[in-house]
Amino acid sequence: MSDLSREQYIQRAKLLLNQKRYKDAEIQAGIVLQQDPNDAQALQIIGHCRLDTKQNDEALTIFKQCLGTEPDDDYVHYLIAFCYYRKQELDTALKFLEQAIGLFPYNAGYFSLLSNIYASQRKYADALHAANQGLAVNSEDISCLNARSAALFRLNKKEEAYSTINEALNIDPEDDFTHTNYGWHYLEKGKHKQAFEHFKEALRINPNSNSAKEGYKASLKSKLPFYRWILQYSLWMNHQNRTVRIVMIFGLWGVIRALAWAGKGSPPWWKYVTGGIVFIYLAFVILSWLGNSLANLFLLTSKYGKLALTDSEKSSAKAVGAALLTGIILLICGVWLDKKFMYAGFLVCSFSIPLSFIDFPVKWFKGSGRQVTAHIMILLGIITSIMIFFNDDTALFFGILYFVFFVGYMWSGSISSLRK
Amino acid sequence: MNEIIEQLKQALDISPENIPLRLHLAEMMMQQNLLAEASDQFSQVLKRDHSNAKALTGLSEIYIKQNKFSAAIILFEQLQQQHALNFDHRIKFIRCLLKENSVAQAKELYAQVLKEQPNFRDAEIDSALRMPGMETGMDADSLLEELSNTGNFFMEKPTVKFSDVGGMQKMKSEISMKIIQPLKNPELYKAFGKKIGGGILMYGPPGCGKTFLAKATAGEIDAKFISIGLHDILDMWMGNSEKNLHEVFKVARNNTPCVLFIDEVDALGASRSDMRQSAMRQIINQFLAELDGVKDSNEGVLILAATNAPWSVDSAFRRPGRFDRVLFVAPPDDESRKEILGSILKDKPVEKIDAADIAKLTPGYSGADLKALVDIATESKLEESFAKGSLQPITQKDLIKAVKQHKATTAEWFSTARNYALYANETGLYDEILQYMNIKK
Repeated sequence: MSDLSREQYIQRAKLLLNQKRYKDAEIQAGIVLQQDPNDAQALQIIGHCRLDTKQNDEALTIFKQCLGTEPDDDYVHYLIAFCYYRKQELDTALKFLEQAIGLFPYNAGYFSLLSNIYASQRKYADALHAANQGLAVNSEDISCLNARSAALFRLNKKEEAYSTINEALNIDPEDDFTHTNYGWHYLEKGKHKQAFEHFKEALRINPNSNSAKEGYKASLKSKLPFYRWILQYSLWMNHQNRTVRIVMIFGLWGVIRALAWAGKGSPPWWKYVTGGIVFIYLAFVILSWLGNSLANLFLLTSKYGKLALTDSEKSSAKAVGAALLTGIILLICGVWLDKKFMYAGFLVCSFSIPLSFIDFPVKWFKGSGRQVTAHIMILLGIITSIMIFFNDDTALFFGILYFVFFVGYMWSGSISSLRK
Repeated sequence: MNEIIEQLKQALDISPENIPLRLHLAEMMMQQNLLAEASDQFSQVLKRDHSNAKALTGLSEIYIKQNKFSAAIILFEQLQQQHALNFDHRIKFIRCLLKENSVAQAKELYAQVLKEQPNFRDAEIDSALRMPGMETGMDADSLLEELSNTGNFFMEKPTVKFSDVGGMQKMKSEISMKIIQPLKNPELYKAFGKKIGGGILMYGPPGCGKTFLAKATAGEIDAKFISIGLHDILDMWMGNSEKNLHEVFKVARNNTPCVLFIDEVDALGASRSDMRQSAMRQIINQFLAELDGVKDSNEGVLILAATNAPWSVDSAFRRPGRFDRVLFVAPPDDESRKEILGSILKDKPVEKIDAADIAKLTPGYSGADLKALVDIATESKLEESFAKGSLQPITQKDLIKAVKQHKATTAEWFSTARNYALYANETGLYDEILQYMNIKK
């Protein structure tokens, strides 16, 4: 292979990478690597493919190999930073990105990543500053404009944010990322119709964009008011700092406990008030766990939604629906027949919560810790609900075990979501 | 002559700092082929004036004559830094670089040279740096021969016919209406005022017989068949890709009737978002001009193109008169799969194989997938044959086992295509995909 054809393979691989045909691009770059296993350009292309297909660790190893051959390549530094950003190891990402910017401060893309990293750390003023720096290098850089608008939204400078995002659309109306970005802003404001239009446009431009597809589904589901509120709440929570989130989760629970406790010696009408508040709180908590699956169930009935859902989402929604339906039937039976049916009904209804967290298709007792725990819970629950009809003591024992798991699972979920 | 040299030497002994005189002496020595002495003189000059261009060029020429290319390169590089390289020197520089195998650097420099003098030709450099045959003004026939030798594209006269292609009824009738009938009944088409021409763009998952169908088309009308991958035409030299493209069309026009099959047409791709690459734009325009037959008529040239990524193909290609029929080549259906399996297994030792049964197990498998199945089965049988010491025929069980091992490769293609069909299907271009996947919108 002469030098010339190496160039041709690289060009080909780059074109394929542009067309998002990762496998083919890797094959072309692989041909170059057969001749020279350390060819930095080919390695970069393969790493890029891995990065775009979300294989972050593989991409990282490859980019580090590139860095070994070309330790002063700013772009490789940037790519490594991007890997770490994807893995949410923000400090390491920052370290590499600073080096990239130090080596070559004239790439606006580096600053947009910097801005995104700061935004992930919830340092929105820094994020804005970084985006502005990027725009000073290239005032038409779409990614910087997007980062800037995102930071402005967080800083509550809405008008400026909208004008920035419109500017981005003016420069390139065919950019799926801008449309997706716009869509999420609208969703956060609860304007699901406008959001839907933008997600649709983004998908038309790039039908394989995952983020646009997620938004498309979310905007369809937002037709349901309860889903809309929960989505707005969770999007809002995502952008709050840690203290606010701790207050929201533990504080709210504490207030409810306090209310219930204070209500003990008070007149009967006060009980209705506290009862109402507790009911709303419980409904809110349960919906925040089940909302997504229920909304997916709703999507299954709509023409477009059905096509957008993945198979695993469909099965999950169906499983949750089935558990709820069976539970409700059992409850109704309980009203007419025996109280035992009612207990079983409650239990089966409660299955819907662990079911909504389980990844489908189910691989029983395999996978991450939380997955296995959920599997164990389902097993315990089933044993309990069967035992209700045969042996009260056993049922009580398994029931308590199930309850302990349940409460532990839910609280640990809330706490681990705080850490993110 | 030698006398003059002696006199000059004496003169220099008296005034050793006289640089012009020393240069003159060195040049005379070079003419007399006294290389060692001349190089000595040049070195003396450089000692006194280390950036003297004349001395540097003189010395480098001596090095070239002495085959010390790397030393010459160092001098040329110094000259380059001083911006003192003239045209001749550059050519010499390029030759030295080629001798030392620094092709990349040579290429860069040659590109600069060609920018200044686009018509410059040098057989030695061209043979190393340019596509073979393209620039040397070969005629079409020898060009074709050359290219078929290098494997870039080849012309043949296929013997396969439509009857050899299993299934694909719709494709066949489309191609027949568009391509075969106009050739057989030109009067009828003329009577209706229907223009003959335009091409067909086939798309679909890899390995489902697009190339084979094109070949069969050529066989059906007894035409020549030229198959090129568009990637092979693309050349990093500005303007060369266009030239290559033109040559290929020229060859096709000179060999009518001829089916020109262009594979990987998405390599020109650059869908809307990548348009800014202006070099690509040029090639696309050239390609469109060739398709339209602007300068030369495409009468008798039938153009078929294939791609795995129709979404990356510029929409301008699909305008009437160009690729106005866009056809989806689906994976083979049950019946075709049975036929394909039968033909793959024809000359292999088999035992009680029910191809129809296997065909039922393998929906969505492409022809290439089926071949892979048989390969897997064969390999396991080979191993067994070695162990047992006698030939073990392939059985139904082996194939079923292989089906479990090898999944349909088309699935991946469809997962991408599905998204395009669902979300980017304003013109109804991908309706056939939706139909095939049984999705109702």
